[in-house]
Amino acid sequence: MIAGKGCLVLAAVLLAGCAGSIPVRVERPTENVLEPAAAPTAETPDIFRGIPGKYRKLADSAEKTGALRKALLYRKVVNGFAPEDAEAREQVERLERKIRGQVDRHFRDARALEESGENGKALREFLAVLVLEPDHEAALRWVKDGQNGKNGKIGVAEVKSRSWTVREGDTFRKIVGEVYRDPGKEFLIAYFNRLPKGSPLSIGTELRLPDVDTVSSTLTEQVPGYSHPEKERNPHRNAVERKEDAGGKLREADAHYAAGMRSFLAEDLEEAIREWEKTLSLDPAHPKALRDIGKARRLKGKIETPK
Amino acid sequence: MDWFISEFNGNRLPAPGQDVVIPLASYAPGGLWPTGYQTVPVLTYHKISRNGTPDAMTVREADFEAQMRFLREKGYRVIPLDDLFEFLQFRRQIPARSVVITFDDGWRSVYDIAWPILKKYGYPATLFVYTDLIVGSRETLSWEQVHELSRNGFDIQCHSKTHRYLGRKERKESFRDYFEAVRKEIVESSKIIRKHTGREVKYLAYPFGDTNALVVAMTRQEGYRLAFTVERESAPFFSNDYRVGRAMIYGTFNLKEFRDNLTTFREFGSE
Repeated sequence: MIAGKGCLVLAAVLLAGCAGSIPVRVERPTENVLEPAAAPTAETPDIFRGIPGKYRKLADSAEKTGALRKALLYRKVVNGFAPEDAEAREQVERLERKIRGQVDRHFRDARALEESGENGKALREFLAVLVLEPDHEAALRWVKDGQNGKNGKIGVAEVKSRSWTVREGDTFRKIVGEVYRDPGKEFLIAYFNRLPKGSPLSIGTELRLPDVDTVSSTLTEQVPGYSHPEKERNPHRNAVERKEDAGGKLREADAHYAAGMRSFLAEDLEEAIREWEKTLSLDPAHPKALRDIGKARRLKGKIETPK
Repeated sequence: MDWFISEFNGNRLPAPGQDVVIPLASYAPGGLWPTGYQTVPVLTYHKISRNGTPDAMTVREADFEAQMRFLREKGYRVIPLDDLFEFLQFRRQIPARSVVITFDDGWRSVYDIAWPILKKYGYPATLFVYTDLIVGSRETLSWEQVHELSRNGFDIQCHSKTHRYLGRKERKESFRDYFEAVRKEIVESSKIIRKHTGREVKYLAYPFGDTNALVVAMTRQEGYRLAFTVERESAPFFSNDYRVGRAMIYGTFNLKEFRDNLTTFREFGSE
């Protein structure tokens, strides 16, 4: 116990790791909630007598509002003051079981939502897992390592990286031709995988091939009345640049449309739809993309839900 | 760490006889609660002027001071970027009303005007410099000033070399040329900053907040831990580390508009 300035101070520990059935969960040893209290004497009356009752009430109230981790802390405070009290121990165990049950349910729901492509709702469920169990590695990995495809916003998809296991007959050129559809990008394999210049590919090597799309993907806001000093040196540059940007966007939209058509002809509907979505993000009125994306989506729907 | 105990106990001032729980471990990592989650506003300034007409990129000294005072009076805590990084990794709990202050480019007014005000309030801040601007003119910082800021706790980080749009491949550039240009922007500038400050460069603010998938992949590959856009949104812990939003504070903002950029909590369902 620490006492100071007339305030009774309780040293408490929040417990994070609860035992559970999901193998991804990190197990942590249970820590003591309280440091052992000195036995009361005639000079030092038991000033802690009222505490278990008070924290039992706090636990009840926290549990009612769904703040289960906080409730668990309070239950452990009660148990720490009365280690022989079977009821206090049972309350801790009951609440731990309740938390585990809720964690497992949220995790199952999250996985199901993820599989059905509802990433926004899945994120919410994974967060609910982490509220109750912050050490839940699988949930944390999903929300943090990009598996939710976030962009600071919930449910915004972003493909980050693809892995490639080197097979017999693979060359840098062949791999980038397949992944990036551009053999000229072979230098990217060495760059992103820190391979020494001229090193051969070994069969079985795992390569990381990130998305290298060069289309600007940030929503930059128009700054009122702002012109950067670099541009101020050339007063004509803004107008020229704007014109070039517009032209550049349309050209990029056409390039994505053509890539989508290649994928469509190769019967890769998902990739075709992705490319045409990029087309429409650059040129929302692109007539061919508007026409063909609808066709591809309908076709994909028919293939996926055979009657 | 007073906030750590205070927030757990409902932000009450301790009174004689009152119980105070001292948590010995993080009780809400990532600012995650049953009702919602914490978000951290990352404020972005450019120039500060003594007087004159404010514009988007220039905040008047009096307004800047009023904004800093507002943060203090309303209970916001200004945290360093390193703490934000730890928060974004779900490793560290930070005060519920945390805010990060950043400056872009490398204008001299950061040294002359903003720094004394920040010192007065004890606020940490980060300066993202684009190294070609650091020439020590009447308007821009010199490397000596940057070094002095760095020695005194100002965090100096990268904002590219020339301030080009990183996310846009020029029409005449080949893919390879574009790749090399981006690499130069994010690698050379980092080396220059390290040379002048002797400190690690870990964070990048994309010029104009502009990026794309290739630039994100390269930024990660070159060892940056976080990178910032200027998408006007406060950052939850599950933000993409290479697209962390920031709010530009315009010189034309009044205090209410400033306050509108200080969202520190989002309830579930309000996204």
